[in-house]
Amino acid sequence: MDYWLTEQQQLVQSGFHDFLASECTSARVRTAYDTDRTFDEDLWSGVGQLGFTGICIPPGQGGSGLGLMEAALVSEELGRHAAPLFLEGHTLAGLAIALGGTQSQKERLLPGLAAGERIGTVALSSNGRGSAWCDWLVEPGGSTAATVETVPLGDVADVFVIGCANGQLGVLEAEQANVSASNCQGIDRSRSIFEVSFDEAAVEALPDLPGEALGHALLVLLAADAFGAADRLLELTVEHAKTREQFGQPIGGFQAVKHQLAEHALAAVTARGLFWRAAGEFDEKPESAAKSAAMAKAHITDQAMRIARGAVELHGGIGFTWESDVQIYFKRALFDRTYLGTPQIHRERCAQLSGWI
Amino acid sequence: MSSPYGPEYDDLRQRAKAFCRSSWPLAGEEAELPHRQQVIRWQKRAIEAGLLHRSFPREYGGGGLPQDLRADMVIKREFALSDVPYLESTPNGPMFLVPALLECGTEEQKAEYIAPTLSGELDWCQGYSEPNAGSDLASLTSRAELTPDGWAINGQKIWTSNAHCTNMMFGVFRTEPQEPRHRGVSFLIVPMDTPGIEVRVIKTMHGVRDDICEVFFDDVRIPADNIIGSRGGGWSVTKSVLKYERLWLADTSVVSGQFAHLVELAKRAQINGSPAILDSDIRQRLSQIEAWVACQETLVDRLMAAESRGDGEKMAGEMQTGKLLSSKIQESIAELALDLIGSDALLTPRHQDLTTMPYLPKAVSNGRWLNAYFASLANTLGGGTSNMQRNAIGEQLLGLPRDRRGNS
Repeated sequence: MDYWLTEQQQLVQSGFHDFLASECTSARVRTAYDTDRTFDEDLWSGVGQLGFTGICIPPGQGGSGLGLMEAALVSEELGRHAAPLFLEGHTLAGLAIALGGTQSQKERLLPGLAAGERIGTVALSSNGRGSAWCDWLVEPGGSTAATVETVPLGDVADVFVIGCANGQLGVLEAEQANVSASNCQGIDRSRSIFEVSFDEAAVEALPDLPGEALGHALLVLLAADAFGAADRLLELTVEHAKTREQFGQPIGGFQAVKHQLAEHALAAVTARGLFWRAAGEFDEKPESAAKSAAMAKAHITDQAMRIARGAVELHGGIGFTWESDVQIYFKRALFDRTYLGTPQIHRERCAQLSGWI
Repeated sequence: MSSPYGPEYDDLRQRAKAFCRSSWPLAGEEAELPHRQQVIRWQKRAIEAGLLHRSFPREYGGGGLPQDLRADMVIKREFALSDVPYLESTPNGPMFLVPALLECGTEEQKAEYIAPTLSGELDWCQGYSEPNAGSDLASLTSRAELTPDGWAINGQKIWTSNAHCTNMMFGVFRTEPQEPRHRGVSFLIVPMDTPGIEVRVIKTMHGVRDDICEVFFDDVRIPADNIIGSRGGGWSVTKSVLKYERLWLADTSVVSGQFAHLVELAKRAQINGSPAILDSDIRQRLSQIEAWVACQETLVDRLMAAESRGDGEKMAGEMQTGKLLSSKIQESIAELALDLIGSDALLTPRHQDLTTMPYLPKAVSNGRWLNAYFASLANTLGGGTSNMQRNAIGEQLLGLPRDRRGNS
C-alpha cells in the first residue's frame, strides 16, 4: 500500500473536517453532556446531506463505495471534534451488509442506510465477559428474547448488525423484532450506549462476512477516533501552555512542561501510520488485517489515554472541571481504549497472531 | 520480515542479492590486499552496479540515478542480510558532508572530495563538540586563524567518534572571534595526518570499546581553501548538513532487526523452567515494543511516500520525533533483553561481543545484549541528547516558547 493519501481521500477528510468544524461546535457537544438528549438529529441530517451516511455502501445501492481507509479518516475527524454521534456503528452496519449480505438483504437494507433515512448500528460486545473477543451468544432465528450490552445508537437504530454465537453476523430490523433499549449511562456522553433487547427470531444471518472481520474494522475506527481525539488534546494543551502565564512567563517555556508535551507529540504523531496501515490492510491485504488492527487499537488508544491524563495535569485545576473540554476528550479516549477490549487483550491477540504462543 | 514496497522492487532485490553473493569476499590476488583496500574496491563496484550511493551525481562518482528511498531500503536490507562490508566506512561522508558540498561547495571542492568519499578512500569524522560546548554547541572556542600560510588551528574537540581510524575531519571552528556566537564559526576540512593533531581514545563505560576520541589541535596548518561556504557561515553549512539527517533517521533496519532478535531471545531464555515467551508479562512487553517499532516503520513509510512525490519537506516536522523515538525503542528493547538474559548481565561481555548487533540470521549472545544495553544509553547522547530532542520538538514542532539561553 502507499502511505500517502490520494487526492480523493484528502478531500473526504478535509470535507468532513470543515463540516464538523462549523457544525459540531463545543456548545453542540456540550448539549450531549448537559441534557438527556442522546441523538443529535440536526447533526445526523447534515452528515446525510453530505453523503457520509453511505460512505462504505456501493454506488449501486446509493452509497459512495469507499473503503475502510476513508471511513477511518472520517473517524479521525469525529474524534478530533468529539462529535456526539457514533457514525462508526452506522458505517459498519452498511459495510457488513455490503460485504456479507445476500442480494435481497442488500437491496432491502442498503439504500435506506446510504441515504441516512434509516440508522444502522453494530452490536459486537461480548456480554459481561470483559476479556472475551468476538464471543457472542445470540442465535439467529432462535426462539428467546436476547439482550446485548453497550450498543451505541441502540435507542435510535433501525437496523442492527449483531455478533452471533456461531461467530457469524446477523442482521435485524427494529420494527420487526420487538426492540427495546435502555440507556447504560455511559461515561462518554458524546456516544451513549444502550442495553438492547429483541426477539432472536427476527435475526437473519449475514452469510458472507465472518464476525471477526467486522470486529477488526471497528478496532481500526476506534483507533482512528482515538488518534483524532489525542491530536486535538495535544493542540488544546499546547495552546494552554502558550497562553497560561505563571512566574511571569508562559508555562510552555518551562522545560518540565515542554518536555512532557514533547513526549505527547511523539506519541501522537508517530501513531498515525498505525491506523493508516490497519485500514489499508483491511481494504487491500485482508490476511494481515487482524494483527495490524489489534496493534493499532492497543497502541493508539493507550497513548491517547496517556495524553489525556497529561492534558488534565498540564491544564491544572481547570482541566479537572466539567466546564473544560479536556474532560470530554478524556472520556472519548477512555471509551476508545475500553470498548471492544482493553490494550492488554489486543496485545495478547497480537502475540497469538504472531505465533509466539 | 517482508518488504512493504511492493513487487516493483522484486527485481532490484534479486539483483542486490546476487551482487552480494558474487562480489564478496574478494578472490585471487585481491584477497591478499589490506582489508581497507578490499573494502574500497567493493564499494566502488557496488556504486558501479547502481546499488550504493545511487542518487549522487555521476560526474562526482555517484550512481546518477533518481532518488528512490524505497530502493535504498530494499538494497540495504539485502546488504544487511549478507556479509558485504557496507557499514565499514562511517556514514559521515556520504550522509552529511557530500550533501553539504553539493549545496555549498565550490566546483574544485566537489571534484576533489566527493568521489573518494563515496568509494571510502576518504573516511570522515565530525569535529563538533568541545569540552565546554556540548548541547550548547554555539559556544565552541576552538580557534582557526587565517595566516599567510593558511588556517592555523588551536583548540580541542571531544566525543569525536572514529577520530583514530578516519583520515579526514569536517567540523566547525571559531574564525571570527569578534562576531557573536553562531556568526563567528566556519566549516573547515582538516586532514587527520596534519602535523599538530593528537588523537586520544576515551575509555568508555563498556571498559574496552574504543571509538570515541578527543582531538587536540596544536598550531595545525591547513590550506586557506579548506573552508566550505563563507567565513562565518559555518552554522548555515551545519544546518544544511542536518537537513539530511531525517533521511538518515529513516533507516529502520536497526530497530526492526533488533526486535526480531529480541523475539528469538524470548523464545530461548527461560523463566521458571519454560521459555520466557510463554510468560504473559513478557509477551505484553514484546507486543508493546512491536507497536513502537511499527510506529517507526510507518513513519518512515510515510516519509518515503512524501519524498517520492517531492513533498519530503512536509514531513520535516514529524521527523523531528525520529531520533527520540528510535532512542526510546532501542532502550525498551535493551531493557527487556536485560531481563531475559538474567544473571548473565553480571558478566563482563567478551571482546567479540562488543561489536554491532548482527542482523538475522546470526544468533546474538547474551554478552552482546548487555552491550546493546550500554549502546542504547549512548544513543540518548550522541547527535543531541534526548532532552535537547525534547526541546527541539517542543519549540520547533509545537511552537512553544524558546528556553532562555544565557547570552544568545
